Amino acid sequence: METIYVILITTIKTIIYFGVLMLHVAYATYAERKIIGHIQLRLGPMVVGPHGLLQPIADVVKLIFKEDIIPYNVDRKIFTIAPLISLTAALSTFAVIPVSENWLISNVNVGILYVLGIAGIGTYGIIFAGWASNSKYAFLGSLRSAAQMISYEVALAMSLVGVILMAESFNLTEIVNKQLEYSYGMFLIPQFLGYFVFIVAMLAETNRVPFDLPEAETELVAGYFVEYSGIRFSLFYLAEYLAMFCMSALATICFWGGWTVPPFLLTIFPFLGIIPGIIWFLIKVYFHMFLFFWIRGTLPRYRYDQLMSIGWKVLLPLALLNIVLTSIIKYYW
Amino acid sequence: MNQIAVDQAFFIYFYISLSLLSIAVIASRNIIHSVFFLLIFLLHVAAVFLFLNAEFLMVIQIIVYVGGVLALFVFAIMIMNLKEELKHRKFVKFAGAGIFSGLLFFTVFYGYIRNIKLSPEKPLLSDVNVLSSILYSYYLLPFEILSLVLLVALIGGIIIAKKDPKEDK
Repeated sequence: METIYVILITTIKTIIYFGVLMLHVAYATYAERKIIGHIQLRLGPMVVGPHGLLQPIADVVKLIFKEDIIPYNVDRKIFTIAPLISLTAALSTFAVIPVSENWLISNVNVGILYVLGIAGIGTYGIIFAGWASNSKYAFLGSLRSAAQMISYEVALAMSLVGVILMAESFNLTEIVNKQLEYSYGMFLIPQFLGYFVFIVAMLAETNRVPFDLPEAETELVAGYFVEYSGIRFSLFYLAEYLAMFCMSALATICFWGGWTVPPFLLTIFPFLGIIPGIIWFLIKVYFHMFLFFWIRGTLPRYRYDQLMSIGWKVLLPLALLNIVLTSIIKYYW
Repeated sequence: MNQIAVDQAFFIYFYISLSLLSIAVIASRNIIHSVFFLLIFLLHVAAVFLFLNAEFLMVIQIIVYVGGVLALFVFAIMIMNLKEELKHRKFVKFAGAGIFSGLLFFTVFYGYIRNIKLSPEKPLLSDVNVLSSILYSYYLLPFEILSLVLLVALIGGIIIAKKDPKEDK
């Protein structure tokens, strides 16, 4: 009886989590268009609803009702399943991400490794999409994307080793609780080097500007999803935004103290303790999402060789330096 | 319906699908389809580890095999543009030898694991803690030797892949 109860509760939790995530993704596209618009002195979407607030819903309806075109020369099986691989990988990472103290689907002891490993599976969706499309642009885009994601995964994982060393755990909840033992309440301050590497690698890992080479529309049309349309295109789109949310949540948990308030702030302003943890968590995640859009509105795209040399010659040595420094300080202090 | 029944149902599912997937990997005509089945196969193996309460092994299985080894396979296949499937009509030429060596392997394997008893209680510590404490105390020397071997292999790989600077001039 107990097992059925556990399965039922997990299913309900998953459905709620899924619904909230989908709403977030829909309005992240709206936020992106609005923020980029205001950065470029435009208004962004204004027509559908007040200030264009219903625009994402209109877009979703449009994408669902569009025809699902499968080109003649593609490998049908792989072509149809590739977006699902990307989406499943992006969604599965949220199974271990704690939103607040008691609100998470599964509390595994190797949470951080799980997120990194599962996020890596998303690469296969991109590779298969590019290969199955039977098109030069898509194939080139997918090869670029795969090389980029594999290179930056190393830097991403290495930048988190400092956090793991300080928290002495892979468990995401324990990492957050460990940060409360310091008065500043976040690993951002001792791990600023790791945080810098993480942010840059996060941009590359999610294929965002300034590292959006796989989708560079001026050279590759749209990269690996050129041949996709309708609902399958939107699945890739969804996977990309989910990956952005996942990386923001990981940054929040590992470097910004998750759902907690820094203890020194709480002693100065005791009333901050009333605000529930999930609000803090969301504020921190929204900040990182804003960072994605802000950088997109500010920076130009890198060249491909520059991208690779940044990954291997700058970020990886920095991350290794961070590991060495953290271990030395931790050993003697 | 209790915990054991649910576990057994999942195990039966995993073992059937693992056998079917491993056949699909070698039976596919298209080599990318093989890679696709191998991807699902490796993820199923990871899930079996999870059901055996070996979380760390599950994650390492995903990171090393799915994230690393299989990605290299895909790159090699895509860049070399293999057209093997056109040459071979049938793969059953060596079926007899294959069945014989398979039977031999499983007979020896069965003889080896026949007397093993599983302890029913779960370990108290999480497997990451157990693994690290054993690895860094009792097995420290083999661990260091292994890491040295890997380092030598890495340096060797870079030397082989590096272009001779004289050739460029």
